[in-house]
Amino acid sequence: MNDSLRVVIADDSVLLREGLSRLLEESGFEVAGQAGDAEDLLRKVGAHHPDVAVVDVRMPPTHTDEGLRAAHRIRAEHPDTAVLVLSQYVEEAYALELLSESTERTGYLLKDRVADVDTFTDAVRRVAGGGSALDPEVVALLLGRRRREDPLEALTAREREVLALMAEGRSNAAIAEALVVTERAVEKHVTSIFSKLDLTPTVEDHRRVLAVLAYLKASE
Amino acid sequence: MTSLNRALVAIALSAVVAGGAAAALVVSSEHTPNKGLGIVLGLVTAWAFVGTGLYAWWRRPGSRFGALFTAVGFTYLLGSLTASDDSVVFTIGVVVSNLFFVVFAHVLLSYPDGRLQERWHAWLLGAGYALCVVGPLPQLLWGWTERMQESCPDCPESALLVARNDTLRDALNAVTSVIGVAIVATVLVILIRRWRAATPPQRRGMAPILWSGVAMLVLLGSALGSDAAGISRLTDVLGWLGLLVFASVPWVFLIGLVRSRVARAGAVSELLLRLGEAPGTGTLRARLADALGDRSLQLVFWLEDKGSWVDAHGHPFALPADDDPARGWTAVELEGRRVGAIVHDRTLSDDPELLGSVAAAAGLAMENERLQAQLRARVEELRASRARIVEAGTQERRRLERNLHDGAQQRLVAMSLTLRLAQSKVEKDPEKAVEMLAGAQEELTLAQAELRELARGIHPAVLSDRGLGAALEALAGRAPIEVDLAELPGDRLPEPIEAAAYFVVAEALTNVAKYAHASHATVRVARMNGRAVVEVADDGIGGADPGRGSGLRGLADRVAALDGHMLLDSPAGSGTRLRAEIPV
Repeated sequence: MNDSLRVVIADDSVLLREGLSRLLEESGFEVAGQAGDAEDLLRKVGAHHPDVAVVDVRMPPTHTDEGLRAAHRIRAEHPDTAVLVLSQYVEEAYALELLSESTERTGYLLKDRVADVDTFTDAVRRVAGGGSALDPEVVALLLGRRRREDPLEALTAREREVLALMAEGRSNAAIAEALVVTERAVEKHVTSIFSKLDLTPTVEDHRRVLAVLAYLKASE
Repeated sequence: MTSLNRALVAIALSAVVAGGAAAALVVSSEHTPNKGLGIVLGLVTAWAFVGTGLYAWWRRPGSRFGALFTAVGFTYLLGSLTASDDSVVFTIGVVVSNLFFVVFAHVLLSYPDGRLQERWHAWLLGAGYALCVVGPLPQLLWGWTERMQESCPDCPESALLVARNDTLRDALNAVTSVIGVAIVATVLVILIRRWRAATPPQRRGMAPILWSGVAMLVLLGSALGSDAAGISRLTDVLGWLGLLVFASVPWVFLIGLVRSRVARAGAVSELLLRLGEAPGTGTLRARLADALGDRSLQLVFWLEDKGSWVDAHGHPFALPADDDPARGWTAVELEGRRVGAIVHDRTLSDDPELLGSVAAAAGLAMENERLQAQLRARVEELRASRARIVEAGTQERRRLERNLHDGAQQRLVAMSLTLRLAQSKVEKDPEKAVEMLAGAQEELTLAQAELRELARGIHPAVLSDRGLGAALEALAGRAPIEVDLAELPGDRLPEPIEAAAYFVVAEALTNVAKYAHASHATVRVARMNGRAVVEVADDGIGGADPGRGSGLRGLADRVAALDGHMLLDSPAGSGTRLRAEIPV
């Protein structure tokens, strides 16, 4: 594991910022800076060139979606800095907006997840490593949508599980570990899913997420 | 000529013929004194009743008053049969000669529409008719009284004479007189009571007939009494006076009719003048009440947009039914458009021309007052909806408090307990402590989820951040049924409209899921002709009740607060369609 991943945290709540900072440092990350609003965040990202920016959606001054807009700018202006957006609410609109351009080095998690240290640090490492992270609840919502003729119904229960984990941005190895199966078995499932949903198979994880998300979004 | 008119003309002609026959009978009579005076007085009286009766009949074919009045004239002519020198005809004449008296009482009791108001009035009149016929029988059976012999020494013998028996005859005469006086007195009591119960317009209408009738009844009743007491001079005087009053009744009636028409026509022209000089400021009602002489008069106004009537305060008003015996109404129009109605005493309905001209005169002023009433109705409605909105707010707060109390708060309390316990176990039983901490973590996750849902229900963040489209997509994604977002506005709508539209769709989808048994719903939000149109349609069972629950009511108020309105179309068996239109 890379022990020296550098992180900038942006949240208007000092309490949460401090908590996150301690949690990340205890897990072996280096917190390069903390920001209370989007402007401060952009400045600190520019100064420290961190590997990851962990950003809250709602920040001053309007308390709407400053964090999200800042995330877009970071992705555009500092392509080497990954962004993990934390949201108080499950808003698939935000998540899809964030992940629709590129799923590379991008993540969207429910704020509650930070309490589950392993999941959270895993997501931070994943986006820092060029991958993506999408909150399981958002994925569940996307998969759970009622569709007139639902091609997802053609999937087996296990294939749906695999699809959900793919959408979260996990690699085949991570999926195999989570489902306690071999990587080969996962590969077989993935091939089957792609053929059932009529998608072009891709190797890279973040491209795969993009395809899956685009599919889920389009097939309303 | 209508069949009614033909019948009336036929009746008039037969009255002329009957009058001629009566006159001929009197002229040929050998025992009748003062023939000329008798003929003139008799014909003038009979024809006046027939003529006035026919006129009333023609004016108000629906009322029996005219027919009864005409009948008084005809029965009056029957009295001339006593002029016959033939014993049988003479006897019949004596029997029927007083019938007109009861027919006239019938007119009085059944004024103004010719219908008796109570059943026992019919019994009373029946008794009167019977007494009229039976009354002369003692004389006819047991010989003339002295007074009769004196006044008509040459009258033919009764065809029914059995034998002279003065004692029996006088005893029976006394009985019939007492009964007669009692009947007359009862009729008088009924009439006076009716007068006291009448409204001013009713009194004006009934005064001429009633008072001349009362006078006549008093005089003839007294005559009956004095006859029974044997005071023959007084009996004659009272009888003659009574007949004179009786003869004057049709004329009094006609004069009253003409006078009230003239007075009313005057009142209408005065009304026109007064309406012209100071346009309506709440005094319109008073002026119309003056013009129609009806202090109970009410003005009601027509609200075109609602299709309902309201009074001057803007409260809903129910017009009297067509068969309401006490109240009637007359529509007021302005340039062919209905603006309101005059609600008045039922008796005024007898004079449609007058009501028509008053209504026409009132049109413009009424339109002014209608606008005011409309405004008041709107204010009234706003007051009610504002109260409901406040109430809905309070309810919502109560609901939130309950949800917080039963949900997140309880979990936090439980978690606080668990943490404290875990703290005490850290040293002695670290394994147990870790287990407890995991439990607390779980509680916390649940509390967070509950708070998140609650916050979303209050106001979804995505609505303000990303607009209606994104918010509706999120809503559709969470719905337990398939929701098709068929149309969404391209750009943002003003925030209050977006919020209202969002909650309309949210409530509608909740209802669809709860009640409609639908599998699919279609949501459409579009901008059309300066309005935002929100529509939610499902393929469920329909038959939704717009009054159900406070949810829809609250939404309707919310939409109304933005000057919009909401429509629920839910025919049983073919789905439900909720549509809200809000001006942008």
